[in-house]
Amino acid sequence: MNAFDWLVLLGTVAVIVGVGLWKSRGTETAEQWLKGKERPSWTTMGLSVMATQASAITFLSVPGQAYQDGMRFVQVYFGLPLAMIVISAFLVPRYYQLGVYTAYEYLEKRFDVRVRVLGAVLFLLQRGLSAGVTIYAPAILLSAMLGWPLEPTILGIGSVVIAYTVLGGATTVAQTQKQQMIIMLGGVILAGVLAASQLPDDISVPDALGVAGALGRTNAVTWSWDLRDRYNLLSGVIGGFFLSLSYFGTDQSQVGRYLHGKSVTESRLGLLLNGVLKIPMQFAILLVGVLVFALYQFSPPPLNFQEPLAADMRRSAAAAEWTGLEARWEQTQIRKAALARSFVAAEREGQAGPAREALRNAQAEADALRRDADKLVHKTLPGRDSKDADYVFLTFVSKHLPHGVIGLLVAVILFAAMSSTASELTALGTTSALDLWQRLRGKTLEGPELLRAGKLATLGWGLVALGFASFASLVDNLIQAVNLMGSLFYGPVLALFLCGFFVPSVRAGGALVGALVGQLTVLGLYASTDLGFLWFNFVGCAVGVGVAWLVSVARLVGGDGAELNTPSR
Amino acid sequence: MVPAKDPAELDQPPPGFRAWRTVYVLVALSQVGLVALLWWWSAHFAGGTP
Repeated sequence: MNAFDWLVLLGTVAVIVGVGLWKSRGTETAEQWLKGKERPSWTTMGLSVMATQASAITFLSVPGQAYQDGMRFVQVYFGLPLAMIVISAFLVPRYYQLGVYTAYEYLEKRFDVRVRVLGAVLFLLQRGLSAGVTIYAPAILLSAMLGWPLEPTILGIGSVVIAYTVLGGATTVAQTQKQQMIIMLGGVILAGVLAASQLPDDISVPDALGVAGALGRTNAVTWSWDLRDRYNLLSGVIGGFFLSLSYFGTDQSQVGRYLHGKSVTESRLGLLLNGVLKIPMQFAILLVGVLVFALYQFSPPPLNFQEPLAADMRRSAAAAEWTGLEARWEQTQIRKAALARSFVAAEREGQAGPAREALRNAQAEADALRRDADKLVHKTLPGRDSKDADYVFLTFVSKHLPHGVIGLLVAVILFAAMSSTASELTALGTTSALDLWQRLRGKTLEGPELLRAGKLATLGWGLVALGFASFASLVDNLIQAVNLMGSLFYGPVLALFLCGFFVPSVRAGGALVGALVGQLTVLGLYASTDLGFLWFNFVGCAVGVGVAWLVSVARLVGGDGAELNTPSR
Repeated sequence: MVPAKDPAELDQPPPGFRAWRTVYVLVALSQVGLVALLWWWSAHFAGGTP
């Protein structure tokens, strides 16, 4: 990055955060801070919902995933539009009707305080840890690729987002997310256009997509009955539906985005906007990865996209072996580029069969070389992770894009981290203050006391997230665990809400037992099987609802909802 | 402070569901069409072997 990139980066961040804070001026009451000074419109809510879900990983990892595994990841979102419809039709009007501040308040009104606390605690556990990863994940990549020092990067991202979230509250969060989402969408389109423009002159975009398709990178829809297969049509529609229903319908970081709109209609429109735009947006991000893949078919990529790792290997005891592999890799890539051109020519003549086979064979050779390189890394530098999918997009940005655009795309990555973290921190703060602090004290928080509690809790969670982000660098595997946690916990939490909304016979005791059994089932399956993680959402929810219904109907456990009328907020 | 609702009231159908039914059907159909388009995309660029 040069001075112009830094100017673009800092200027974009300063303007968007400044406008967000300016729009929140005059926020004085707890209600204004928690719900926003003005009720947001449906476009602001829709973009805010999208920005919350789009973390930095979306922009860093997803193109890399398309590069290495193709587009089938898009299927994770196939169940999302249906979930948006269910939430708009059934959950939104109920939340408005009850005037709740958090999703978990609903659980107390429908069941009792124990169910509310269980829902809130599961949320705080899972979301509290992932807030740290939301900051850490982009920081580690930016630090590795751009040479930024890790700790100051974590501190920089974290302190900016904590400051504007605590100072401006809901208004600033919604306004910044709206602007950030617009920049993010613009950035993705720009990256795609620039990747396409860098293809060789004699290769058109359809030609490039043909090459990527021949090598299995355009597989947006795949079919498999194998439950261990992570991404396919079946797991995407069913597992993705339950994941989305749980995430958007019961996770306070999302519920808080659409709970305080101008009307039920505006909230519904905001959610449906997300439902309509999500698949095209993910497709566009994956398409950028596919175009980068196609570009690298004609302009040889490195053996491993982790530049610092490759540099360490060249200095290691296995340097000769590594450079030998790099030389063979380069020869294979040059041959593959020639075969890709032959394939394009053959396809134009409608006789691509043999050329496609030759190209696929060359790709198989390249894949084998990469596997050899991975083995050599593990042998030579034990403990170092050779996976490089997350580095593909950053390598493309830093090596192939003009200055100014680099600064803008780094801003996109930082915005993605900030927009997700802002929603997470406000949700964690609100849930801690209202669902736990207030309920455990047994006294309703009002006015300045509520404002102070909300701000303090948000600041506290911000510091926890910063601490966890710094600690995460010591235990890399923790990240995988945290990423999985969503799917491990969402099913049983969704079961609580679905029982509340759709199964009138379920009472508090049954709901608690159902959620517990659902949770144990999911953890048991995780420990003992290779089930694709999307299925955990379905299994946890189905077992939770089933057991809750059985226990309630058989009246096996007490808790008949007698506390339904307990005043609460 | 928001008073809690009667359980019977919570079991009523949500307000405005019928008026929105057409919108929901249109959104669902548009997404089914989108998935069908992506299926075609997969088959087209993979040379007939999605």
